[in-house]
Amino acid sequence: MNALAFKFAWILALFVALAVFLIALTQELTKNNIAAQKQRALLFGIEQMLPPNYSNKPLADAAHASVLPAAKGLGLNKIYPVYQNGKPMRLILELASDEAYAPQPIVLLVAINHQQQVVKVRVVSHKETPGLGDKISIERSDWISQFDRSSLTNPPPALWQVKKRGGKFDQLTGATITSAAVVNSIKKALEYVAEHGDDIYQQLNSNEH
Amino acid sequence: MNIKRFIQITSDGIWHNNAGVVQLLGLCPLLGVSATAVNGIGLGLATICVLIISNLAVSMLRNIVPPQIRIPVFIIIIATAVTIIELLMQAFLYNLYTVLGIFLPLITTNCAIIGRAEGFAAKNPVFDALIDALAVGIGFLLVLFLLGAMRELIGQGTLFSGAELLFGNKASSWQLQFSTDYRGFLLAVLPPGAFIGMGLMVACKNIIDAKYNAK
Repeated sequence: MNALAFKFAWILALFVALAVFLIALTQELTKNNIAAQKQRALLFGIEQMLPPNYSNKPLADAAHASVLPAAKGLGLNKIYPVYQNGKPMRLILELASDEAYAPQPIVLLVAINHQQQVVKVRVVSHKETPGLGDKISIERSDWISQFDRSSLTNPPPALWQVKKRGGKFDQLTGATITSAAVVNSIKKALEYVAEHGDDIYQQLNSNEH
Repeated sequence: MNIKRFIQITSDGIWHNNAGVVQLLGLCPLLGVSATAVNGIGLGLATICVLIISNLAVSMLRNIVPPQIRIPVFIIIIATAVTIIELLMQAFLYNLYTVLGIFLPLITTNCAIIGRAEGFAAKNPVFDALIDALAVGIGFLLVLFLLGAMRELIGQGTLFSGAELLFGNKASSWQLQFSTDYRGFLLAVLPPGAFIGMGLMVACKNIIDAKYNAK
């Protein structure tokens, strides 16, 4: 009996080793492709957020969170600044919300103009529930457009919540957690830009000129 | 394989032993994802891919794996297949991945797949297992599509919304809107509506079978 148990254990171990090998191999072979695809999706998202008349190169001028003022709980990755003839126009924040319903974060692009107003928000990637939470992406519904032109005064900070939790914004049916995560991320982005925006415009501008 | 066996496997998979409405397997992804017709088709296609790989692998290894440890081996095979498909899709079919990617992890929890591995592929030659995978997969896809269409129609008054995500831009005109002032019927969109719709589908199948048998 013992010998048989050992034999089974070996066979199982062999299968696990084979499975691990196959997955590791596939991951290694697809790594660069996947990174390139994600980058392409991100670039496409950023392109959608650019105004018609800007004069700098937002992608080249972008700064990683490590050189920017600390952003607690914002999940900031990068900021892409947009200028017109050296005059600040927009900051595009790339951030990841860790309050999502799925264990993976929701990656968002939030464009905030120099008047501290949200211009546009787009979801780059997420793993929210199909049919419910996935409506945060513009391909599925225009829910995310309700944040256009919002700011910390419109609505006031106390109302920066989904309706179900006493705030102003519509939640997606059956996806309150997902909706609240997005609302909260945008609010934090606005707060961050309100506090550090001017410094960032200056810091990134001087990098270039 | 003779033609009779082929017909038997196909008709079992699609109708008599349908994974969705007869065996009631894979309810978690089935009920969770069938809010629209297009989502239903998406999950159905992803399921077919995994089912083919898993059935083929299980059938090929059926004489090597000792019966006592077959279940954990099947689970390893299915989980590996799902992971590899997810990676490949992400690398080479990114647009499709953004649509189907969210469904893929759900397939690991789909008992229909391990059900086929255990109930069919482990006892049958490779080609039979392939036909079985296709038949059961198509049967599952049909249930998903019909349930999704029903829920979408009742829930939000449309059909084929979001088709362009799955079939490309030319499909954006496929969406049918039946009434512009339809307020929607929330129950159909939420999981309870899925259960009710599913029950109706099972009943329909039973009625059809009863009529057919009475003749």
